[in-house]
Amino acid sequence: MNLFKLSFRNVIGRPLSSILSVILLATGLSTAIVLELTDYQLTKNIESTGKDVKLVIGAKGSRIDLILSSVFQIGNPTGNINYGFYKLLKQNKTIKKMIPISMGDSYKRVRIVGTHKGYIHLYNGEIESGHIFSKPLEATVGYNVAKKLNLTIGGEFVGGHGMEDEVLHHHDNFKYKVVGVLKKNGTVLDNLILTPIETVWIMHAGHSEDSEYSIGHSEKRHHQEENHIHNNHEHNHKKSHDLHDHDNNSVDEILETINPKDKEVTAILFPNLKGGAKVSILNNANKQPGIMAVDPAPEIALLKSKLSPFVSIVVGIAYLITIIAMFSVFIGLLNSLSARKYEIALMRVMGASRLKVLSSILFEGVLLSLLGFVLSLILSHIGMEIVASWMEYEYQYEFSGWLFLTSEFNYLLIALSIGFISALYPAIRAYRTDIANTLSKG
Amino acid sequence: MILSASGLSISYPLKTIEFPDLRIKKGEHHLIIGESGSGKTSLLNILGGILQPKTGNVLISETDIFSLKKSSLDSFRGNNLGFIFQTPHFIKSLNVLDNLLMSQFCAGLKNKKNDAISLMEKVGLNNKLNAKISELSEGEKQRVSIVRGLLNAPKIILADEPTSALDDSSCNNVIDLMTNLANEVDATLLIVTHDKRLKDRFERRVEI
Repeated sequence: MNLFKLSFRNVIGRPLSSILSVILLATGLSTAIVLELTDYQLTKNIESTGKDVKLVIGAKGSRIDLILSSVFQIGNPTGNINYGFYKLLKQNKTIKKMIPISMGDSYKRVRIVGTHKGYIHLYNGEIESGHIFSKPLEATVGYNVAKKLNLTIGGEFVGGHGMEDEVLHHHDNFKYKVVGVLKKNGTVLDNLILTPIETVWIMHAGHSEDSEYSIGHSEKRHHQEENHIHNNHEHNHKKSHDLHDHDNNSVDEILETINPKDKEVTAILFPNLKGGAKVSILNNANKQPGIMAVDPAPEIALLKSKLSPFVSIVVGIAYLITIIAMFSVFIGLLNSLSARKYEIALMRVMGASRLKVLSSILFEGVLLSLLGFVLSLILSHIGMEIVASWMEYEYQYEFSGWLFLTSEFNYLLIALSIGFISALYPAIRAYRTDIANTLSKG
Repeated sequence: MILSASGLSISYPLKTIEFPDLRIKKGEHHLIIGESGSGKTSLLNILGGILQPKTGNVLISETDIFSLKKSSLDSFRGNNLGFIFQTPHFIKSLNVLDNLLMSQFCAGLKNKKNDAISLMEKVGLNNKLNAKISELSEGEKQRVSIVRGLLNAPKIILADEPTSALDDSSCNNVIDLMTNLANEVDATLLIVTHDKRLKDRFERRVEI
């Protein structure tokens, strides 16, 4: 017999009350822990993804949508801008690096991003096998993509227009060919299919919903033929079938036939931009019709501030449940003690000091809180894993439930204090038990 | 002298009770007889150091127990006195053996499981060691509580009405058990009772 055994037996001797206390405490603590784990990983993801992009240029629209879509690969872009603007900026010698990206297509919910090698370097991507795309229709895929969609080097696939669930139609004239797989590095690269920007133009040539800007239109001009759109499409399809083996000559031919007006990019990313150059680009870009330049940092800050009321509510709920848990431990102990009054007197008669009785009751509270903490660790990490799989599905960002933060030990301290504080008054009451009086009422 | 008490009194809101002096030698089992309301349970509590008398003192093997510090008195009680009550009480969340070990734990002694087991064998309950308290009959509970009172080999055993809830044959069995075990561990029995059946069993009686 020892203090631990006595307290433990007493705790499990009132299973319903103890289970209630433990579950309440675990719920409160695990809510807080899940929030902390999510916040930590979200912040880490945002920082690692956003830190190197100093400026984004894209179509006019919602600033936050532009940043989310082009930097974080979340949600729909604001539209496209003409590639000509990119070429114009290229003449500016103060700009060291610029990365155009063109989006809008996907393969089995995975986004296809047309860009150049700079995009991979921006996120310090490294090749696991094969090589980085060098020609149109070649694709280098992220680690998770290769794994999830079983893509291997030499494999081919057909992309579709539209992102995520809403694929409008398949670009089945041309197939992408996987030429490389990237190493896993915990950035957006893991979940993307990357291809030269020209691929996107080729895919959309003749298949754009707005045929005014399609390859058909430019061909029509060439041949000065009838302007019936339907015929143009048929013509285009026929030609496309001839090109099905997509030898490079035909691809180059098509590229040549694309009207420069139809060469578009979704956004231009600027890494490592110095202050002066940034201001001049900002001013210059914002003067252009249909174009805007956005500094990601304040937008990210704004986004985080929009999330903070939600976070506060969850924190509030966590506090509330934890306080209820405290009461549950308190009331459970007090109830049990009024039933065990005689047992306390008995212990005293058998020689237990008042301090021994006090510690045994305090220990019951601490034991309950310890059990609550252990359960909260299990619940929170399983819960985080569930949240993670949802977040990955929804946002294609990597979250994990199997990440342990040292700050979780703070919750051990919180739990222990809760157990101690809730048990304090019951323990003092036990300490003050009048033995003779209690025995005479036994 | 194993126990001597002199000038003991206790006051209640309506009356003050004065108790006769006691001088009890080792091995001299005593009955303390009194009607209900005579304050005999209070006397027992005073002798056991769990109730402070208004006046007087109690010496147990030359130790003036009320001059001890509170925590020393607790430990003194655990090591030198055994209690047996009319209705046996136990810690319900613990099984029989653990309840017995509780008396060692509370007295600050090492757990000596074998002592408990051999005493339980003597009262014929060694098959109940792992039973829950609720699984015992009233008679079994009383026997276990006697074992518990004797487990730490106390100098004195204070028993409060140990037989008044029992029928004649159980009454005799319990008294036999108590005296035999007390003799075995060299303890002196002090039984507080109004049970007239016990008068024939003990030569030494104090009336209050």
